[in-house]
Amino acid sequence: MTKRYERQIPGWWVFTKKTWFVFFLREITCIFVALFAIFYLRFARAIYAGPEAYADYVEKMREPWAIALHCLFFVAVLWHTITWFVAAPKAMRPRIGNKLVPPRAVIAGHYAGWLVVSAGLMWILL
Amino acid sequence: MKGRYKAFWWSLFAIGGMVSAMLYPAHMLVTMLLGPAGVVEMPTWEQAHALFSHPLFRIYLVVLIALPLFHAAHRVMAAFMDFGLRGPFRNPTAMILYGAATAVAAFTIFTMVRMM
Repeated sequence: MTKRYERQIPGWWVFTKKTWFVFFLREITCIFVALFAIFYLRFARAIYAGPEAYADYVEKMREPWAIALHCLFFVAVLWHTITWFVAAPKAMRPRIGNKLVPPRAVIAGHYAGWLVVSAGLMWILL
Repeated sequence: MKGRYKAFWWSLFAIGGMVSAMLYPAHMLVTMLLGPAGVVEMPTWEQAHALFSHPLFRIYLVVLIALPLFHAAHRVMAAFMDFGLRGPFRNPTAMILYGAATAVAAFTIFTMVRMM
C-alpha cells in the first residue's frame, strides 16, 4: 500500500494570517444567522401561543444581558450583509449589451436594494 | 450526498445568504434591539398576531427562517473541511448539518401551517 500524503497545516491556521482571519470572521457569521432564524421562529411561536406567552417572551428580550447579546448578533449579521454584498460581483457578472457591469456597480445595486427593502420592512414592522 | 447534488445545496446556500443579508438586519434592529430597549414601542399582542397570522406573512416567514438555515449549514460544513475534516467523517457530518437544517425548516413549515 502506498503511503498517504498528510497535509502539514496546523489547526489554528486562520489565526496565522490577517486575510485568513478576515475570511474566518465572514464564515463564522453564519452561526448568528442561524441563531436569528431560530430566535425568530420562537418569537413567532410565542405570538401564536397567546398573549401570555408573548408577554413572557418580550419580558425576556428586555433583560439587559439579552439586549447586550443581541447587539453582538446584530453586528455579526451586519458583517454578513456587508461581506455578502462585497462577494456578490464574484458570483454575478451581469452584462448590459456586450459590456460587463463593473463590480462596484453590482455592489452598489445590492446596497440600494437593501436600503429599499429595509425601509419597507421597517414600515411594516413599526 | 454532497458531491452529487452540489449545485442544489449551493443554490440553497446562495438564496439563504441573500435572504439573510437583505432582510435580517432590519428585523433584528426593530424586534431585537429598538423594541426591547424601549426606543420604539413593541407591538401589542393583537397587532403582532394580526401580522403573523396573515397568510402572506406566514409564507414570508417560511422563506425568512428556513432558507438561511441551509446557508449556515453549508458554511459550517465548509469550515469543518477548512479545519481538516476528511475521510469517513465527512459524509455523516454533512448529513447531520443538512439534516438539522431540513428538520428545523420542516418544523417552521409545520408551525406556519398549523399554529393559529
